[in-house]
Amino acid sequence: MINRKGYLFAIPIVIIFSFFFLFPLVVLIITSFKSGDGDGLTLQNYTQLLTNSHYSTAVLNSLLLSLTVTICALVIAGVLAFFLARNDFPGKTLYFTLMTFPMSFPGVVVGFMIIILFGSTGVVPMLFKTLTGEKQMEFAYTVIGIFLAYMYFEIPRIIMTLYGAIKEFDRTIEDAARTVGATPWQAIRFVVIPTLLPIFVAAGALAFSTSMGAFGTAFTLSNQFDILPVLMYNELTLSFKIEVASAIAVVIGLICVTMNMGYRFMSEKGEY
Amino acid sequence: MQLIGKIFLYGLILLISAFLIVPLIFTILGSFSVYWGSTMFGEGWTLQWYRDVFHYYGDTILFTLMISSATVVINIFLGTITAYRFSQSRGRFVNLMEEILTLPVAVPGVAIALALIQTYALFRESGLLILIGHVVVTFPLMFRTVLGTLRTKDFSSLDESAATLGASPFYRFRHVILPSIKSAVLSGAMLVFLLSLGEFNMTFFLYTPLKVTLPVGLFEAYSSLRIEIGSAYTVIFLVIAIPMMFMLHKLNNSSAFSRGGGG
Repeated sequence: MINRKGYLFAIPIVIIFSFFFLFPLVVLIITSFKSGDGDGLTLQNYTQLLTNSHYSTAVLNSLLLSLTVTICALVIAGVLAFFLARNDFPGKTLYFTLMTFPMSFPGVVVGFMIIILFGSTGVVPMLFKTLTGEKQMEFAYTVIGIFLAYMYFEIPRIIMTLYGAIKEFDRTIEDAARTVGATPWQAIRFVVIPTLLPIFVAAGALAFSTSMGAFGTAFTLSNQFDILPVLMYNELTLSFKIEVASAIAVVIGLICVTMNMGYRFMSEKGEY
Repeated sequence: MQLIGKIFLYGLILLISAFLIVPLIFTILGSFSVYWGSTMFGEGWTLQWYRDVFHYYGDTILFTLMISSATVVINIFLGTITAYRFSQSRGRFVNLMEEILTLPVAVPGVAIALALIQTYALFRESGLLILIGHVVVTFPLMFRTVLGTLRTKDFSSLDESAATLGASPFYRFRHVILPSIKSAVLSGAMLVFLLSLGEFNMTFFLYTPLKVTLPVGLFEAYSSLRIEIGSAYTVIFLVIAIPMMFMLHKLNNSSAFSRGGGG
């Protein structure tokens, strides 16, 4: 009633989204079903991802990398988030800011941070050289380098997601468990973790999705470890197979959107 | 036993803190060092690398600032009017639309980029495609931030009273809604700016050799130039980004919707 003219406000975004987001996505999906030479539609681009080892290795690599990073980052960031939420110390705000700061770095900068730490003239190998005379841990351009880089951008992100929830967690429940005789570990195991589980799952889903879609980091630390976004780039620019590249993009997109929806669902469930 | 646990905990915290912060410190130090070797300032310090960055990549800094500012301005306009419209209605259709408008946060940049280049290859040359991509990808940050504020506070009754007094939607938007959502718009603008400033995954597919953004330039410098120049260039990026991050922190914005860097 109050707004007969109100719909006008939504028109610009509907136009922009239709033309520059939804329509291109439809084009992308259609391309992913085209075959390289004919004009018929085919599922070949997708089945190839599973049957051709050139592609299936990258699929597996991406999934394994994202899963490993998610689990490791959840454990480490979980410990840090608990520590930050339950301890007060001078300079805490600054420390918290520093720890969550890398969240907004572009992927390329994250890659560079790993080069600074573990590159051939990186801080750690140089330290080893000074101490023992021999460079060690020079793994910026190996799988370990990629893993560490992904940890670098996931840990701050997960701390940020968990911190608020842990802070708000009602400690009296935990104290009550302790009063009736639970050990600290039991209190955490049977009281704290079940309550905070949704937000942990949410943070994990978000981390997994970020890792699956990450491109710049892996590209900066380019090496033999093929992952989906980099493979997509290579298919497009080196092999000129836009159909296969589109199929890879659709697969990454579906995984990320699903994970993101999971994140939203679980974090709403985790609110109380 | 308790002591061992404590030592382990503090050890882990120290290690992770060092992992995150040490490379930043060395990036800053390295950018001033004549030669990055086993002793940082063994050969003295210099500003030469910064001069080199401005010489080779000055235009990327300018181009990025232009793209990011334009993205912010466009999304302040789009985001606030759309959020205003959405705050007035509820229902299944509205929820669905909201989900669709939030989708660019979830779809990875590489997928959006590949969709855009095969649909609008025509706009690539002028750099317009970069701007379009940035607007679409950052829109949800502004939209969600403003919509969140409009929904938590009781704006609709205010708005309705203004409407009862005969104010037009545009007048109400300008004089009733806009002044009350100023800080939400401000934090939304900073989120948009930060994301646009650091966007690489999508931009890397859309740029042309004549329209290079700062993160794409960073990638180039990392892969082909000395580590000292890469460091100086990174420091310049940080100098632009840090004030924004600091202000965002001050505004105490929840970052649930920040897509952030990463990747």
